Amino acid sequence: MTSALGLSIAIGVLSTLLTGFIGIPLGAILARKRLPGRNVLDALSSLPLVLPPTVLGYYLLVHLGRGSAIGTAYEHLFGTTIVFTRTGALLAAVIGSLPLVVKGSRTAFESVPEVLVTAARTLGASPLRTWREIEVPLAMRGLSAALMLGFARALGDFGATLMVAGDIPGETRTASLAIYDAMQSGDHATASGLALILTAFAFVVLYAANRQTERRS
Amino acid sequence: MLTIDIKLSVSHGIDVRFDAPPGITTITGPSGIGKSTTLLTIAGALAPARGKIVLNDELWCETAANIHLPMDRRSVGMVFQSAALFPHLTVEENVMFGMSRALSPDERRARAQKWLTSFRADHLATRSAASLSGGESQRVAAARAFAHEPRVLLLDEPFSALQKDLRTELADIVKDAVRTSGQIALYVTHDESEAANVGDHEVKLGT
Repeated sequence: MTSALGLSIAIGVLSTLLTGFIGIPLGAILARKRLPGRNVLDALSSLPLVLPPTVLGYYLLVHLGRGSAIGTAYEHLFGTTIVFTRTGALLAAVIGSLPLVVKGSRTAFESVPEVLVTAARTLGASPLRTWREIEVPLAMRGLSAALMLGFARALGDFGATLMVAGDIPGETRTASLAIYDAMQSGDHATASGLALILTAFAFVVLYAANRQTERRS
Repeated sequence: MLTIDIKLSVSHGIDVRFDAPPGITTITGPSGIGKSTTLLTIAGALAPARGKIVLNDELWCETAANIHLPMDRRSVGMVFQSAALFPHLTVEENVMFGMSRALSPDERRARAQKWLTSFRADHLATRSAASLSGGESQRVAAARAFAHEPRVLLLDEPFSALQKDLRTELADIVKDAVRTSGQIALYVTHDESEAANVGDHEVKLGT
C-alpha cells in the first residue's frame, strides 16, 4: 500500500515537472491570437481530455512499444523498454494531465492585459524578456493552479497506466491500480484506505487550485 | 524627422500623412478617428494596411517591401491612456524597466529618481504600482517613458485622469523636457486648448 502510494506521488511530481516544461510554453503559444493553426493545435493538445483512457493507452503502446521506432531507439539507448516500466507509467500520466496544464496556462496568459506586453516591448524589452519578466509573473497564479490540476490528474491515472505500464507489484502498481487489485482480491480495508487517502489528497490540491484562481481574479 | 504615410488597418482605414519634426506635434480629432491607433501603429504594435514610417533615414515600416521593425528596436517611449504600469513591480522598478542594461544599478536608480521628481512622483518610488490612483499612475507612466530616453515619444492623452491645473503643469514639464532633449513627441489629446498650449506643431485627423 505504501509503495503504491509512494509511486503515485513520485509519478505525480515528475509528471507535473514534465507537463510544466511542455505545457506552459505551449499554453503561452496558444494564447497568441495571431498564431496560424491555433485551433488545430488547441484541439490536438486537448484530445487526451476526451479520448477514453484505453485509446490513449493503445496509441502509447503502438508508438512506444517494442516494435515501434521510438521504443526500439529507447531500448537501444537505455537497454530497457518504455512499456511495462515506471517510465511507461510516467508517460501515461504526462499525456493524461498535459491538456489540463496547457488549457490552464493558456487562460493564465490570456488574462495578462495586452497593453502591458506592448508597454514592455516599446520600452525595449525583447519578446523573451517580456515573457519572462512580465507575462510569467502576472500569469503565475493561473500557472500554479494549472500545475496543481495536472498533478491531481496524474496522481489518479488508471486506464492508460494499466495498458502501458501494466500492474506489476512494487514496480508499476500505482495507488489507483492497487485499489482495483485490492477490490478484486476482497481486501476492502486496503481499498478503502487508499481511496480515502487519494480523495483527501485530490481535495486538498483542488481546493488550493481554486484558491489560487480566486486570488488571481 | 518622423515621416508617417500610412493607411490604418483599423479605425475605418483612414489615411494618415504628416511629418513630425523635433518638438511636440499634437494630434487631435474626433473620437474613434484613429488617434490611438496611429500611435500604436508608429510604435509597431499594429501593422498599417499600407504605407511607410521613416525616422530620419531609418525605415521602420514599409508594407510594400514587407518591412516591419519590431517594437523593441524602434526606440519609442509610449504613455498609454491606461498608464499600463506593471502591477507586480514597484514604481521605481517600473521606471527603471526600459533603461539600458549598460547602466549600473545606482545610475538607473538616480535616473529614475530624477524623472519621478520631474513628474512630482518621487514620493511614490517604493510603492507598488498596483496601489496607485489613476493620476499617480499617469505621472509614473510619463516618468517611465522619459527615463527610457527614446528617440520618439508617443503620448496618448497622458494626463487625462488629472485635474486641469496639474494637467497643465505636467504638460509644461513634458514640453520643457522635449525641447531640452530635441526628441520628437506625438501628443494625442481631445482638448483643443491643451493642444494649443503644449504643441509646437499640430495635426488634425479626419479633416
